[in-house]
Amino acid sequence: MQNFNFKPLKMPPDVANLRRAVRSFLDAELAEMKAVDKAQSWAGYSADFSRKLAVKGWVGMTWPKALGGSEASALHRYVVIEELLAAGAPVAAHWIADRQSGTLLVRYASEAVQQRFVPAMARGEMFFCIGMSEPNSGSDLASIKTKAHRVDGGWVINGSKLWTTNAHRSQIMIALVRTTPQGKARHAGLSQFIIDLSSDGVKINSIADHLGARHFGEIFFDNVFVSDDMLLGAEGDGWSQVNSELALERSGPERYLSSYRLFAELLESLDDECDDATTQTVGEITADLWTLRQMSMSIAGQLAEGSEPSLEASMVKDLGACFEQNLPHSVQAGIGASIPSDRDSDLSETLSYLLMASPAFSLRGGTREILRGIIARGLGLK
Amino acid sequence: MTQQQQLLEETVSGLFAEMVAPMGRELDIDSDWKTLTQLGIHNIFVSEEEGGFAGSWQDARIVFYHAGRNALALPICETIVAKKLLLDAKIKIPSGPLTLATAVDSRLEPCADGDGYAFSGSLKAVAWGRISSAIVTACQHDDNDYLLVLSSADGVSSGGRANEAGEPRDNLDFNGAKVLAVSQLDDAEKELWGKAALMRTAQMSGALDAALEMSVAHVKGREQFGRPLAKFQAIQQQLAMLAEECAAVNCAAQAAALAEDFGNSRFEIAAAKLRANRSVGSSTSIAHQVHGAIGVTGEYNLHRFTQRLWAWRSEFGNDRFWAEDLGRQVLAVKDGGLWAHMTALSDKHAEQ
Ligand SMILES: Cc1cc2nc3c(=O)[nH]c(=O)nc-3n(C[C@H](O)[C@H](O)[C@H](O)COP(=O)(O)OP(=O)(O)OC[C@H]3O[C@@H](n4cnc5c(N)ncnc54)[C@H](O)[C@@H]3O)c2cc1C
Repeated sequence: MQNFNFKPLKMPPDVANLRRAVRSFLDAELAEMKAVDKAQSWAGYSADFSRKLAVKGWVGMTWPKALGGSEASALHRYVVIEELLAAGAPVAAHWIADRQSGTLLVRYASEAVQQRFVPAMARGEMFFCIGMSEPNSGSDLASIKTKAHRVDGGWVINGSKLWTTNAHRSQIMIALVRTTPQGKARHAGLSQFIIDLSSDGVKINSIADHLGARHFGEIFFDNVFVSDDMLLGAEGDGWSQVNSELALERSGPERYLSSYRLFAELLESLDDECDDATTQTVGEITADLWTLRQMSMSIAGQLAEGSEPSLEASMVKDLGACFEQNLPHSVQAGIGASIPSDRDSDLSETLSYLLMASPAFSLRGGTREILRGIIARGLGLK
Repeated sequence: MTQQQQLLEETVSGLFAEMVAPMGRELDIDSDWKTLTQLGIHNIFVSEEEGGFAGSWQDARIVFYHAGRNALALPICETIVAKKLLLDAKIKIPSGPLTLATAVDSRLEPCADGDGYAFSGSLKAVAWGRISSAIVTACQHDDNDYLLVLSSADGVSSGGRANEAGEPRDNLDFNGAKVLAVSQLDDAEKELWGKAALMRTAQMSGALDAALEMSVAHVKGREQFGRPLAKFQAIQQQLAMLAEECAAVNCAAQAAALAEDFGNSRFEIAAAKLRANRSVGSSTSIAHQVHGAIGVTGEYNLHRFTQRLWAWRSEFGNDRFWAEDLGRQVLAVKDGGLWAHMTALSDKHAEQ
């Protein structure tokens, strides 16, 4: 039987100092921020905050120094991002560039292309979005229709992308498109392109979610020209590149901390004279939280060692999303004796927000059913 | 895992699998116990000079895990933990299988002849009580906490019903029994209970993995509607959830063992045992469901694992016990709250 590796991680020695530095920066920066805004977690957008964070050297930490990074270890980066999430910092603007796009460029792009984008990303000035999903292709990503055909000196792209996070407030998209028509091998003929969203022929609409927030959108490509050097990696390698990108995307602490601010608000509203049922709820949430953090840290450690535990990452993402979704329900169910029911409170406002926002947590980045399918394949059932 | 741990893992997984074969064979407290002790499995924590492994909790976890994974029906895990408690308290270790339990209505008094102490009290549902040679327990005396060791033979059996898996759980009453040895230890009962909970957590993780392994094998082999059950998406999704539970409990057990090696791991053990307990309901239900009727027969071995999971969930702290314990710990955290507390705990283990 497949063995899942979740060996415990020992943090590098100097992380406590790094944590302190990040915390004192956040104490100052977030002092005026409302509880419900913190609850947006990594969907909270502030270009201004991203630039300030970059000045501290905490954007693109692992990238080469020559490209504006600081060649820090992946575990030091892990410590910074878990602190950002626990505090509820508005990290959305640079999140995708920092988490995956920058690493993709460092891995696959030419030096000239790297110089053109990565230093600006590390300064927190250039933001990226991910163009995978389309109107008729969600879970079945390989069925995408957006295509690129060769022309003199480059490629011309036609089609559209949907549900693109930050579509309307990013400069660049890394898009997965067809470069050869779909044949028998569904995963062949796909390639990734770097697309400047200010190019001619690009049209972007933001989409309001059911809370009225505009965090994602749709993008149309009408004969958009990109030069040869904007092909990322090798032509036809898009599928495998996207999969290693998804491993980065699925394993981080944001996959179990999206509702953490509600727990923090709950704990702040309680004193140690708490009724038994609430004390138990706190214990249960803590046990899940602690376990997920151990799992997520274990994966971070394995990634830092150069292995790619993508099966384990799928497990953490699925368990993490279930946890993030159950948390608001546990809090709501427990309101009464010790948990205040006052609807004007920070706790209540945070709860309302997360009850409504959390259904998306098991959709974005790959649905629950797709992740369980990956795990089943790992068990040898497919 | 270190090389030494890999070696230990290979040894115990092979040995335990061999010992329990054919599964369901009744293990013998003389000959089978001898097989275990000849290899020194019970001496994980004992120093190398005295013939042991000088091992850590992370090493011991490997033994606990494989004992659970093989449903090994002997008190090897209890003996290992009991020995560790005695070693830490610098108490001489009695020979034979040992166990550990907490006491109710207990009293510790100096013996009338001035030589040593006498213990009175009831020990309920002592794991393997009848077949153990000695029992480690805790007691208060003059506002101090003591760890002590009793000869099992001094206990008067007052019933006790075996647990769901048929493992002996005996009630033993002691009335002025002379203790074999005693040592003052702050929070002795808490220490004993926590270490035992860590032991059960690791055993549960082994039993969960065994249930998953059996389930995967079964659905690959069994055909309905002209294809293996494994090919049905409903089955795949169920087993993916079971695998996630196995992974979570395994990770929790490993992390708690690491924490215990750094001392004062009440938080981690509470979280790990609670996480393990909370997975029992859904996990055993999935394992049985995908098996169909064959899984509930006496002949088929799935019950060896699911019964243990049902039993161990209540032992050394059920959900309610640890949820309240952990909840109180969290609510008592002052500076910086839970996040600062949790990260400080793991940063403490930073590579030196
Ligand atoms: C907040 C948010 C942000 C997002 N950001 C981005 C982004 O930045 N970039 C991007 O490219 N995409 C983004 N997405 C899109 C996301 O990746 C898709 O929503 C997801 O892949 C599912 O696709 P879908 O919505 O078309 O649902 P569908 O694929 O239509 O699925 C609907 C339901 O059917 C189930 N299902 C589908 N196929 C199967 C199957 N084979 N077996 C069993 N069940 C199945 C799914 O699990 C799901 O429950 C975002 C989505 C959300 C909600």
